[in-house]
Order: sequence, then structure tokens, then C-alpha cells
Amino acid sequence: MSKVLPELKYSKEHEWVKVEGNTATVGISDHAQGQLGDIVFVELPKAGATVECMKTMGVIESVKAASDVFSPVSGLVAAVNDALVKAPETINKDCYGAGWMVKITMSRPEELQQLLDDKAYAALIEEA
Amino acid sequence: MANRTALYSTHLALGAKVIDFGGWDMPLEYPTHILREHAATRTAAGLFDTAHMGQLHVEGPGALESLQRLVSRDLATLADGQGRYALLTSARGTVLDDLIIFKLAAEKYFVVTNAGTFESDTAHISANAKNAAITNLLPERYKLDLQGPKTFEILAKLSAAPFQKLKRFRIMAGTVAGVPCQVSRSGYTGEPQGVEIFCPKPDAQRVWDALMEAGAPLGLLPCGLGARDTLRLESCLPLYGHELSTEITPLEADLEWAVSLEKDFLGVEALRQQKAQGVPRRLAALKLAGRQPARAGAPLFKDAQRVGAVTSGTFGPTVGCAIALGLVEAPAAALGTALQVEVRGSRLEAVVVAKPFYKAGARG
Repeated sequence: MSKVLPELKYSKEHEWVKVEGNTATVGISDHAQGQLGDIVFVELPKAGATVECMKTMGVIESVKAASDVFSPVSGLVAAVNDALVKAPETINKDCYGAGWMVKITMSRPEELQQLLDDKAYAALIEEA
Repeated sequence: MANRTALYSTHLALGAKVIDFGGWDMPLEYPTHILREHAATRTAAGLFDTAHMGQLHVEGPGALESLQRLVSRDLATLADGQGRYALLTSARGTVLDDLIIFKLAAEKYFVVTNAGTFESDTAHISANAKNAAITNLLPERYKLDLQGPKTFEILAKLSAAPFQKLKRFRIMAGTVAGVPCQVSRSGYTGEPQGVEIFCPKPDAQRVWDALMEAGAPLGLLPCGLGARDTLRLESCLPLYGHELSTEITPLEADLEWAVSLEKDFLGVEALRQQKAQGVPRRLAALKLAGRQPARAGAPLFKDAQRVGAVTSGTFGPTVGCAIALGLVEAPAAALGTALQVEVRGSRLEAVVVAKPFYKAGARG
């Protein structure tokens, strides 16, 4: 059973978003990390880069396949979890905590309305 | 519907993620995932369901002669109970399959093939056989691979047979958990301690369960095709359809050791000619600078010139970086050559290294 945290928002591409003021912390969901299997490499945007809602901002490679990471919101990358470079498996171990990927200063917070709440996301992955 | 091995429901019950492999529904990984399964095989043991692979008997007064004319190795020097890795070749000297052929007795040979090529191999051998009967063993026989340092310790709990005395590529009959099996010291992981267990199909569940029960306390894990691939790639073992195909010769695939050019077999003329003229392409082992894997098909460059492509690539868990095999123009395959591999629009640095990437007993 994949973990879905009630306090987060989710994209259809399986990213989670934690909103604190104007900052969105982004990672991938428990369902996503389970589907990917062992993650061996993560490529993320640099701090200061611009990201756009639902456009690719990076890639996660598991042993068997590459998977695009989409930015759930538009804005400026304020922080990047550099620990993932040496230890990408952190995403498998703690996808909602230490496995966070980027922090974005949102330019259009209204985009949050397009994201799913925990119940809608749980329903989405149930159908999968 | 795809083919399924007899233990398919066992894999599902264990929570396996199933994928299609050459028309077979096979476990890619269990909830332990690829890296743990790979590590278990290298440090303890891994159990693999490999019953999708082909198994044939070739028997009769013409058995040796029939096989000799079709494969790249000299089988005449095989002792009873001895096996040999060989290529089944086309008239152009390219590879139809890679096989292990065991001599069980005079006029009785046991051939293990890949899953996807079993049908065509059988047709090819049958069409060319003289005074030999070809029997498909799969209706009655199963195969399980038990690989890793604890292999013989696990078998000792289930059998009095001296399997630990088997030398590489030797096969012997013995019981495992009371089930009569043929056990060969062979495998596809690069682990020197490892066996392929050929048992009657109705007893496959019993053998699997007995191995898991005896092996789990020693660290045995069931392993899927994902770990099978990372293990074999670390050991630079070729995969048919990637490093070997009807477009690649054994010389290009760096398998010269598995070719007896002085023997007459189908395609040998083309290979003698290729050797004389200089083999134009070579399979190179590539160590990438980082962790990002290059996948099969990724183009390879030497400076700005395209020199070939990746045939297989992954993350090598025991070596800790991305690794790949690539077929490149011969000069680019020289040890130490710096190459670039194109991955998702970027060129990543790679270097040609000696094979294999990993050798058991030599950690580094």
C-alpha cells in the first residue's frame, strides 16, 4: 500500500508539493518511487533556474529506466537537495522527507489549484 | 497470452513485478528490488527462475558430428559430464545463439539455449542433424539458477551429493531435497560459486521451496531478471539480442576464445576471412564517469566522430558507477580510449576498461 500524506498536494505525474508561504518543496510520491525501483541517478535543475508548470525539470534514473520529473508549479528554484547526487537511493528510503528534490519560489501560486489533494491522488493510483 | 513458467504464481505471491521477456512473463524484481537482489547474489546467494530457457537432448551416433558442424567450439574433446560455452553460427559467421553444450555420455548431448531463440535453434539443429534425434526437454524439465558464495553450503543442507566438487562447466546427477536433478556448475552472474539446477517440472515448486527454506537463514533471496542483468553486465557476459545477434560475429563480440577457427563449422570461412582482414568492430567495456546509465542504442563518439553504439548499459551496483558494453570501430576499442556517450542530449564521458568490470574475490 503506497503512502499518501494528507498534508501534501500531488500532481498527476506523481510529484508531491509541500506549500509553506510562497515556497513549494517538491519530491516524488511513495507510489512513484516504488514503481521506479532502485533509483541510481537524479538530475535536478540548478538553484536560480526557472521552472515551468508541468514541464520537465529533471530526470530520475532507476536501474532499468529513466523517468522525467515535471515541475508541478512555475517559479524560481530556490534550493536543490544536493545530497541526492551521492545518495539518490534516499528518494526510495524517505521520499517525503530526506528525499525532497527542490524548493521553488512560486511565480503563479494559483497553479496549486490544479493539483490533487491526498484523496484524489490516492484514487488516481488506485486505478493504476 | 505470454508464456509463463510453472512457478509464475509463486513469484506473484512473493510480490514480484512482472515484465515481458522474449514472450515470457518473468519476475523483473521482488519487493527487495534489484540492488538488494544483486548484492545478495554477490555476498550470499540468489535464486533465479530460469525455466524459460531452452533445453534439448541431441542423441545418436551422429550427435557429435551434427553439433560439431554447427557450433564454434570443438566438442570432440569433451569428457563425460563436461560442458562448453559455444556460439551457434550462421553461414555468414554471425551469431544465431549462445549455448552451453554438455556431453552426458557417448552419443548423448544436452544443450541449453536462450528462451527467445529456442524454437529457431531447434529448427536449425534439426534441419542439419544426421543420425541424431533432437528432443525438446521443456515439457518435463525445469531450471533454477542458484548463484553466490553460499551456493554449496545451501545445497549441502539438501543433499549428500558432492556438488561442491564440481569444476566449472561440469554437470552431475544428484538429488536436491530428495528430487533427482542434474546440477551444473555454471551460470550467468560471474559468481564462481553457482549452479544451474535441472529438475523434473512437477518437482520445481518443491525444489524452489526447499532451496528458499535452506538458504534464507544464510541470506538467500529470490532474484529477478533485473538483478540477472546487472550481475551479468558487471561480469561482461553477453546477452543475445544485444551483444550477440545475426548481425554480429563472435570475433566482433570479443569472443575469440569461444571460436575454434581451425575446425570446420557453418560460417567458419567468413570468420577466418574476418580475422585475416582485421576485425572491423569490437565490443568494448565502458566505465562511465558518473552514475547516470547509458542505455542500449546510445551513440558513442570519439571526440566528434561517431564510432558505434551502446549494446547494453546499466548502473553497476558492485562497481558503483554506470557501466556499458558498446560495439565500436576497432581502434576506438583500445583500452584506455576516452569516448563520449550521448544520453538524453548530453555527451557523458566514458573510458574503455578491461573486462570484466567485476571479478569475484577482487574487491576494489
